[in-house]
Amino acid sequence: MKSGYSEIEELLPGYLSGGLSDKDRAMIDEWRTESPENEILFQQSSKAWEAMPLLNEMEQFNSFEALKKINTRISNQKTTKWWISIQRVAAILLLPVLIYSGYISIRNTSLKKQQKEYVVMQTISSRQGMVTQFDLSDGTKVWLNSGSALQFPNSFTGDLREVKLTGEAYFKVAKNENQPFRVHAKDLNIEVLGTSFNVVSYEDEHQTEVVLVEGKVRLSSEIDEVQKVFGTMQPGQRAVYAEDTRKVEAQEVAVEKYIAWRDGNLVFRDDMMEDVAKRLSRWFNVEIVINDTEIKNYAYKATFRNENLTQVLNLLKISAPIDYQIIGNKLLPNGEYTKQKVYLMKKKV
Amino acid sequence: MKDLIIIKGLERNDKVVFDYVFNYYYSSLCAFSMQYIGNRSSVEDLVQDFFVYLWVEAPRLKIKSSLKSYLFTAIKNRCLDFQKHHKITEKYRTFILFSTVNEDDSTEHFFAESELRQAIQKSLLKLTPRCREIFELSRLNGLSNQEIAEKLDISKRTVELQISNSLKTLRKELAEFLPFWLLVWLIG
Repeated sequence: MKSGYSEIEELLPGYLSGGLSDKDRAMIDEWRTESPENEILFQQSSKAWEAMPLLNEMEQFNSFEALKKINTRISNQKTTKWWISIQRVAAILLLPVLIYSGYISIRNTSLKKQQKEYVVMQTISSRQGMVTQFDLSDGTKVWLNSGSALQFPNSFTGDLREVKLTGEAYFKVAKNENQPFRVHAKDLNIEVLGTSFNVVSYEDEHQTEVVLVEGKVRLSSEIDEVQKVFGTMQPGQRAVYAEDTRKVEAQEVAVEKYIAWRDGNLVFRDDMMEDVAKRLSRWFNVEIVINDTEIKNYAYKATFRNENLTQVLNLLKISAPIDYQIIGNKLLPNGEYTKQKVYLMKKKV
Repeated sequence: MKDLIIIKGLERNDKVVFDYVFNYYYSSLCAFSMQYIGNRSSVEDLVQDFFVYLWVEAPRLKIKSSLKSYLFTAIKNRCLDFQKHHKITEKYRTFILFSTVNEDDSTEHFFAESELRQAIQKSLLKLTPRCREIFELSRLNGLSNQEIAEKLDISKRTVELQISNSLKTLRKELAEFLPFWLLVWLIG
């Protein structure tokens, strides 16, 4: 009975798509009745067959929009009670009193605030192709990679030192056990006492990555005010938070590769060409298009230092079965230029 | 354990918990109802009606089963009522992923959207790029095996072999959601 297994398996796609001859069809139907194991195998294959169409169907429904409708219905539900309307009348009568007392208290607090030191939020952005290094008011050193931005206060008050990152940055946090340092990177929060680590969290990517060089950091997420703690990272680990699954996966890595950009180096160690292209496009502010899936998955190894775009592409051409074409930037009607476009393709032999 | 915390949260009308449950299950409950009703807007109305009911009645509800079972069973009953009311007899699209044998079977193994997505993504990562491409052309773009063979200039048999390969991988990922009755059957 088991001898026919792989043969049957090969027929299943035809069976499930309905493109099988009557004879083969009958054969599978008979095989199904031979044992419960066969039937289970068949059922599971059918599930696998329909998994993607079902996911597709689910994605048609937008829970976010639906929740808005639900929320109005839930709040309407309450107003059916008679005493609500009495409360409303009372509220309207109270309104002038509230406004006046509100005005008084705001005036008082704003007077007090003027005496206190102002906390101003500021943002530093790094230009394309440049690494920016600066110190925060607590002595923390920050390296900001090309095309990234960090928002932070001019002085840290309260019991947390909080900053907000878009893009990639390396932090060397000044130790202060009474005032933990927290990086907000989209949904992910990275909390530390004093340590060095790298964070990659670009807007157009659906993940945030943390590489810990030394010390300890704690990862948690905050989505719609719901907090979730993932745990503590060990030095030498790289943790990736995926936005769709909202989970973190960690592994041991060679950290040098992830922090070499601070010294203006681009380091690739068996990275997929797709990721290589992504990093190059950020670094040089160009758009890189790969149309060939085979090239996308090509594992690449190289270190670039101070090379310009053409030099990097030429090195790529020499060291990999890859060719390139550059389309220069065009002037748009509004006076801006489009990004340079680079096409990567398979080298013709 | 986590289920219990969520149910307790629903019972005390905790809006954060309610929103979480709603976002987690809404799309899968709608897709599930589509099999009974087949009309997108009726389905959304039905599921939304249920959630308003859940919010209002939660403090008085005693949910004994798992939350997932409770939700899918409650929605199924509403769908059956709807069918009776509108004299619908036809079944629209039957996903085996959403099938039970008897009316009172467990709905424990049904998928929420994020769970299904995770299982699919996990198994796609295990496939070779070519295999993955073929599988996606088939299941995502709805191309027939013949059409895929022509598009990629390979034999139809190669296409079928690759798809059968993908099915094998995905099957293993989905296995933890094996219907309870099949397990009983297998052991018994």
